Amino acid sequence: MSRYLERTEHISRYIKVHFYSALDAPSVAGYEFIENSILNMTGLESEYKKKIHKKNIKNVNYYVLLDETNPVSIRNSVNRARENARGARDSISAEIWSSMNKFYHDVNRLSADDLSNDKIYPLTEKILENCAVVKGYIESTLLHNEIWLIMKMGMHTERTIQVIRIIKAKLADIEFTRKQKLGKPVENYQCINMLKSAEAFDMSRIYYRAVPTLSEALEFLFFNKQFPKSLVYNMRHLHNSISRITASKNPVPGSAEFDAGKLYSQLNYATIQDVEDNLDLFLDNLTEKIYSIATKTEQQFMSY
Amino acid sequence: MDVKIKEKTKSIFNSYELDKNLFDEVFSEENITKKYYLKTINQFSKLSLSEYNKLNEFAKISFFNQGVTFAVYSDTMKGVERIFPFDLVPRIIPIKEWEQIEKGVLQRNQAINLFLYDIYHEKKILRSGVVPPELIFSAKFYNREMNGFAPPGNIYTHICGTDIIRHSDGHYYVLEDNVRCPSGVSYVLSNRETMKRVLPDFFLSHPIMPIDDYPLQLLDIIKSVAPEGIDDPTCVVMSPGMYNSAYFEHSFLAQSMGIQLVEGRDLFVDKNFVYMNTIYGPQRVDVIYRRVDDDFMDPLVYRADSYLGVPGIISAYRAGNVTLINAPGTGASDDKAVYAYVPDIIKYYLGEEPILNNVHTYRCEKDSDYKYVIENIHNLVIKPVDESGGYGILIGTKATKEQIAEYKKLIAANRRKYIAQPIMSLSVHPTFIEESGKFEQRHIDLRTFCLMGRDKQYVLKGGLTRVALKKGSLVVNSSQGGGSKDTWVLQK
Repeated sequence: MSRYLERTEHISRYIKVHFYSALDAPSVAGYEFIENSILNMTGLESEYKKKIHKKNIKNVNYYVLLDETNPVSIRNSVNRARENARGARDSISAEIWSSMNKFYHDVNRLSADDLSNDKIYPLTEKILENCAVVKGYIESTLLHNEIWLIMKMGMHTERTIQVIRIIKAKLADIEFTRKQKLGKPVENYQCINMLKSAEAFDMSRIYYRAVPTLSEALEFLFFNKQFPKSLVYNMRHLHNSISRITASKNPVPGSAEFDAGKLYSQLNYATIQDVEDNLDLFLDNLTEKIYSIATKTEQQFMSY
Repeated sequence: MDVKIKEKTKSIFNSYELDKNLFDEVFSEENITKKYYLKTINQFSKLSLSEYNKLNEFAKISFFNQGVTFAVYSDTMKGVERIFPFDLVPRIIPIKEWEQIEKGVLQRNQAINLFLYDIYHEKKILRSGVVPPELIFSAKFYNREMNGFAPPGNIYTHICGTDIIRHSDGHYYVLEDNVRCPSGVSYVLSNRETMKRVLPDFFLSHPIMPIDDYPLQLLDIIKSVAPEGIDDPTCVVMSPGMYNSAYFEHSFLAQSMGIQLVEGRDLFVDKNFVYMNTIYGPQRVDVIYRRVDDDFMDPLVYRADSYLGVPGIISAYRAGNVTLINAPGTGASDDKAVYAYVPDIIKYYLGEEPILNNVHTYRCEKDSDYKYVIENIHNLVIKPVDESGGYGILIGTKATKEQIAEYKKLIAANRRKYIAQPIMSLSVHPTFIEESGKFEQRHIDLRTFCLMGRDKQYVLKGGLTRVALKKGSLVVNSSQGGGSKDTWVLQK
């Protein structure tokens, strides 16, 4: 459930940030650019091409947000999150269930008419608000026992994946702007959008006492130990959640706990200088390892 | 070329009445829309009145949710929050006109800056008789503490808010240059944010120049004038506190630049350095963007009864250990009697003709001007030289006999304090009036925002279009019932 919520939240925010920043953005960052960026971030580019013939912002938003034929659309993600909650009603609080159920009905009522340009802002805001409410209830109404820990595991796993997706999509956008020689202001604009998509703009600006450079922005999203969306923060908490469930003093090599601890340690003692020359390789390796840990946690804790 | 707008039975502009004696920014005569407004007006014309009202409500909610409010003091001293009236129909400035405004604003700010350096150093312009020395030395905001002191980069006016109007002759005129603590930029940025949320389709169809880089530019400017030898300066915004009517702007700017918001009580001076209290102990502060007037900055130098300032801060400033934004003493140049000399100041320092027009100004201190003003007061606007916010102004054509008599007495008692200008007919713009439920002509002006740092200059594309919401009123100030509009500069 928390993985679906996390995915829903990040994709909605990505659309909101990019849609509204494009309205009075430097002219080169127009809608075609944004459409490609959204599809790239969600990993739906090829599926979209197969199914939808005309690429425009409304079609892209519909496909990503509401299309029932898209298995990872927000509508389907919220539906699955609600199904998870429904299947575990005996273990979760009434507040979690009713907020999740309300969220589901809110999303289910949406149609293509709700995706006109003037409605994208309130729509994505509403989705983000619903995510925050359900996550707030998870935090404040559950016993912080293994059920809560499993939810936390899902949340930290998916958040890591989504932040990596955001970074990869924005690095591709920046690469494009460099190739097109669109200049530093457009590159900075893409970097700011990357930070905003991870709700990291305000805090990174305070941390660096300036608008971060690309290198600083990546350092913040990868290695800042206090920022709740950073990769290292999420790996620490993922490892911690698994360790608290297994309560093992000597984790078995190859287990989810062992791999999560290893990955956390690697991130905890890495610097941006270690990785910035080969970002693609770093992020691809990380993604692979995270998925592997996610599979192992599922096998260890869900398939009993 | 102006083009006729498409007639539509229920167009929201159908009942718009045009006073042909006024310069209308949008329509040149009935139903004839100026070319650069055509697309915008056509898009608005597709809306019904109820659709427009709905969008208007949405905009209000957006302002409330963003916290774009100002405090209204009540008897209980508890601040009541209100939103500034905002009109959805934007003001558009064609790029060619904007380029002239931008150049003109930069030219004025450069000249004013050189003028300030001069009047606090060699005073060449006063010696040469271009500007009367007595005018400067009697200016309320002339600051003797600044004599012989040069701020970093010789920059005094890091932020300048020049107010511009368009007269009925179609030309732009500068009304004043605000170089103490010009406010309003947070409303420019918030207006844009709200417009994007409420009318995204309009943004898709118009190449509107972005403005959201302002906080970054401001931070760059602030950092560029840090004390010598400081590579990574600690910068803060200093506010009189959360009950100040402009507190929203202070907090907005601090937040959007990513720097601390402090009050005087958070700071202290030790051995001529300024520090702020933090939970980890004192931290040195290098640059202070202060929104506190000169008089209240340092009780050891200025008003001894000020609780808003920091004892010793001016001494630290003069020692070059902290930079104040804007520099103290800049008010000497936005005295409304000094304004009359800005064209001469431009010619003197830059050797250039002024790009933007000044409004002819009568200084009541001069005998010939005083005589003219008293004889023609009913056709003039009278302004105190040292007030802002539209306070203390008399508009001759609208004043009663009693008011005119009272002002004659006031002027006679303190001729240095008053100037007079011909009544400029501010241009008008269609503005939705909730009481009548229709669009009506309302007077507007434009506050521009010009930044100046060490080897850096920047003008915000557009600025704050202020609207006098009261019918026929020329007073656009928010403190006196003014509203605002988003200002669009369209790219080529």
